[in-house]
Amino acid sequence: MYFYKVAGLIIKSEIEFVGLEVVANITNPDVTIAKGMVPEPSEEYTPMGINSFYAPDKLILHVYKLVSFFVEDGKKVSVIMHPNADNQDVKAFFIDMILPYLLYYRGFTIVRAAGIMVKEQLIILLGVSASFKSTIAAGLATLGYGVVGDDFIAINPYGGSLSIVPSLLPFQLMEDACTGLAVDFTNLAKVRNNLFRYEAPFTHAASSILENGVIYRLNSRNEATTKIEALDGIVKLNSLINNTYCYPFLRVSNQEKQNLKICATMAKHLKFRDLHIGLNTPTLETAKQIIEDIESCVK
Amino acid sequence: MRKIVWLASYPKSGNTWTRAIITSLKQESESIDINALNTDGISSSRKWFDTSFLYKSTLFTHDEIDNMRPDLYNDTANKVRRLLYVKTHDAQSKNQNNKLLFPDNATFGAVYIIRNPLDVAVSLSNHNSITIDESVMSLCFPHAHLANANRRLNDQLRQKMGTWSNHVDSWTHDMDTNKKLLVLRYEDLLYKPVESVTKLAKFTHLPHDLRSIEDAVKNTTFDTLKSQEQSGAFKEKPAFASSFFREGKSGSWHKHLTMTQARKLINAHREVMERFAYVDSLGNPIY
Repeated sequence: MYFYKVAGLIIKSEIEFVGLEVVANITNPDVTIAKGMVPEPSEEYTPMGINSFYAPDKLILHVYKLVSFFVEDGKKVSVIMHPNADNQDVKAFFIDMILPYLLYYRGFTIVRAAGIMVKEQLIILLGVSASFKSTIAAGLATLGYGVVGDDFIAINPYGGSLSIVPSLLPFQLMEDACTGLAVDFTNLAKVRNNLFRYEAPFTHAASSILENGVIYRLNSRNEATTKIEALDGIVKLNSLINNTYCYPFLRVSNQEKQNLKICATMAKHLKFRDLHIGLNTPTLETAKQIIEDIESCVK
Repeated sequence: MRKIVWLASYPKSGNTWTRAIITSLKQESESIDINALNTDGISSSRKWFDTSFLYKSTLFTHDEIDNMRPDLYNDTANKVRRLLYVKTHDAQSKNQNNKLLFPDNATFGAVYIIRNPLDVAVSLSNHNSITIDESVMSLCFPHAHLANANRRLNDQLRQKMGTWSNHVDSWTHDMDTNKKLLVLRYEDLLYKPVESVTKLAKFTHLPHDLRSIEDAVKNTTFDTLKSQEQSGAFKEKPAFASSFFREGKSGSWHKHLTMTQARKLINAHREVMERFAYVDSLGNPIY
């Protein structure tokens, strides 16, 4: 058995996940992962995307010809590995979809974004996959700023102020992003063995409450150079909602009101910027440009 | 359910123009906005993939994604209640599971827009900021792709194209018997607009009364589209291209290609060019 701590959850796993934070043997883990059965969805399930199903307290997720997950009560995860799959594949999709679900199950709101603390400001990079969230966040981390989370951020609604749970998961960077950020990838683990995408650890973690900060909405790369513009109005809220609801279990859950309220709070309290990425993969220079923008807009 | 109309073409063959015409037919309005074309995105959209499968496309190889794409289109076609008009630059092909990338079950029909490859070479050179020689080479390269890098992030899924002839053949090889296929020649849209737009409208189940057709033709003339781009901007223009809408003519290759470049293209694509009347039986250019 292996024991890990991820995004505040203690996980006991029959499958080894190299690269996650290892912790000592604990008798009462938050989540257990074991190879086991994944049931056929019965009538109580709602289809959710292609080959995935949601019911109160249950989730079935099939990843095409690689791995299937069955989550019960936000606590027990059963896994079927297909013949082509290895442990890294299970880890990749566990982190991508099952972990956000487990956090959602505990009442957190999940936003597809990277978070980083820059000069006591919470910087949120909002965008779809391949929009360079991780690359820019890794650039900021390389400049010495503390990482709150990458790929998704989990917002804790409990307590007096909204806060973000640090996830401490490594950045997932493509080879050319590593090169542009001067990250030596030769000894880094691959996210999946057949991808040129690497797990790049960071040194400074941070936590944050949602009071001061700037949200950058990452846009497509149809620009010659990087451009940053102020964004205002209802589009702020819509951008947050779109990036929250890309997790479909949030659409069918009973947390809809809470999610909307959190999005509205963020839209109200945080400044909002449109970040148009140039044609090239962001580098440390892009990160420095964003630092300058943060300084100018929080003056 | 067969709900998707594929608007398929090799790049720079009139796909955007066709989407503008469809927008006008759908809206039945007096003008269209080139930045708000009313069609349903592109088949290689990562967002479409990610929101349908729930997990990120960036976690898969290009081949794995191609194996999943037929399910994506079948699933979407099963869920929608109206026809979708989806742009694609992919060649129609079979994936590793021997399944068609664009499955029959999802397909209401395909409109294949074809343009003289001699003119495509010129337009592609401008669009991609590459030399004419590179553009000619690209049209003749059997493994030509879009978004094919695997060491950097692409904002779209990989699109296999092959040579210009491969691409045309992949969609039109059964055009004599395939009732779900409409082939539209760019040059016919240019010189016989009312007839061509009427065919398009009927095939895509859009309004095809004379007024709608004439409005669509008027709203989407090259000069109209270009002046919109000049007075504002066109969000689909590549960053380094001077403009998206360039000349909008047929036969501009005469000004830009050398005889060697033209001959290279004709030699490589003569059979298909002859089939679509771009060269005569002796291999002489018609346009």
